[in-house]
Amino acid sequence: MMKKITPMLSRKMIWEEIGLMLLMMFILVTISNSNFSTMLSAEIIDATLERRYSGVINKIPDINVLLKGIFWTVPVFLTVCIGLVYAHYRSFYQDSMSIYTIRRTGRPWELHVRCFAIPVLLFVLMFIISMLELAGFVASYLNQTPPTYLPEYHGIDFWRLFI
Amino acid sequence: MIEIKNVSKSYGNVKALDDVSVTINRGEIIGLFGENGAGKTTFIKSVFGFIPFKGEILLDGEKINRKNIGKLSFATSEHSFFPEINAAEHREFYKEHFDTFMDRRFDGLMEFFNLPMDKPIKKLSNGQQNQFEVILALSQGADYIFMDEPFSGSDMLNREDFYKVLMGIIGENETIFLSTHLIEEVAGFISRAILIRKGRIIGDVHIEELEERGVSLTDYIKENYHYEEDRVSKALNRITGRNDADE
Repeated sequence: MMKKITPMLSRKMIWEEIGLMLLMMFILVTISNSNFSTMLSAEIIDATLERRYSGVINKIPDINVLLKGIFWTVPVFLTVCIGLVYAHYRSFYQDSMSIYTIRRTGRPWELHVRCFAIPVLLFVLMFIISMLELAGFVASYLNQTPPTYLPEYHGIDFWRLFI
Repeated sequence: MIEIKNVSKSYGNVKALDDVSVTINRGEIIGLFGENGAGKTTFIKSVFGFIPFKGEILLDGEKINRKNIGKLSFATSEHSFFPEINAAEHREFYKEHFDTFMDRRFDGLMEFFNLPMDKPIKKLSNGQQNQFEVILALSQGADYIFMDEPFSGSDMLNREDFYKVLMGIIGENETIFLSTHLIEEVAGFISRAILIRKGRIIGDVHIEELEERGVSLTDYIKENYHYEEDRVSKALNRITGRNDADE
């Protein structure tokens, strides 16, 4: 199956490419995870200290404030995936004009499948992981925050997660 | 049969092909000759639809499309193989995409040219890459095999080997269309010569006709190209400042 959807590169090159993208995904996921944990902990600590020293009970910010732009990593990863698609197309013009051979096959989408498949699959994986992370962030926010500090929950402003 | 009807192609203001009409019949071995920039490569790329053009090209009565393009194969000096994979992987790809792929011919030619099956093609020498390019075109099992200066940069011995093998393996229904500058090398085995100049067909002759007339292919080409026999001496005189009269 892999052979039918990958660019015409050596197996080693394809696995190296996938490996690097997975590593990047891991780093970006860790960054967003770490950012949210740090922010949530800081808000809870602030609220606790405020209550201890001034007796005032302040709510921590709404979850959408903490989540604003938390997934900037996703557009970054998308940009890298777009670059990868471009690199795949370019590979059919480098060191030879293998584009002539691909265009002579009987399958109209052969070239595009080979160029898009890996980047699309990796981006979908990144998106799924980000959504699982989001579920984890919401769970942490609701479970780790003492109830007295929790503001009213109004749901997630989805599009502001990314910018 | 391939019918090329009134095909024109321009690159900006330059007419690379100018109202070209040619018919290519099954079983012919055709040499396409022309100076650099005459339109040979543009002609071949138009047949495959690699570049847009005006006019019509029909393969056995139908426009060339994904369903019938497998009847054409292509070897080019630009190379169309996948440089990062080896010959064995090329064979897998070709067998998957071209039902007519000829395993036995592929193995035989690889062995004849002594090419490795397990080395990425980009690691082969230029001469070996040329050979592999041609092997793929010949092994695809196509009815019409187009070769655009396939041995550009290869040495004479390599080319001679190729010609011998080509004539030995080609079936009577296989058609070869070979674009080349090497007139004298191919004159011995082509059946038809087409001349192109500045995008126009200026000559189209069967070799038998030339033989009956007692005219060599080289002379036929010179005649149709209006080759000036004294152009070399004129150029030398201009460059050196000498004059024939002085001598």
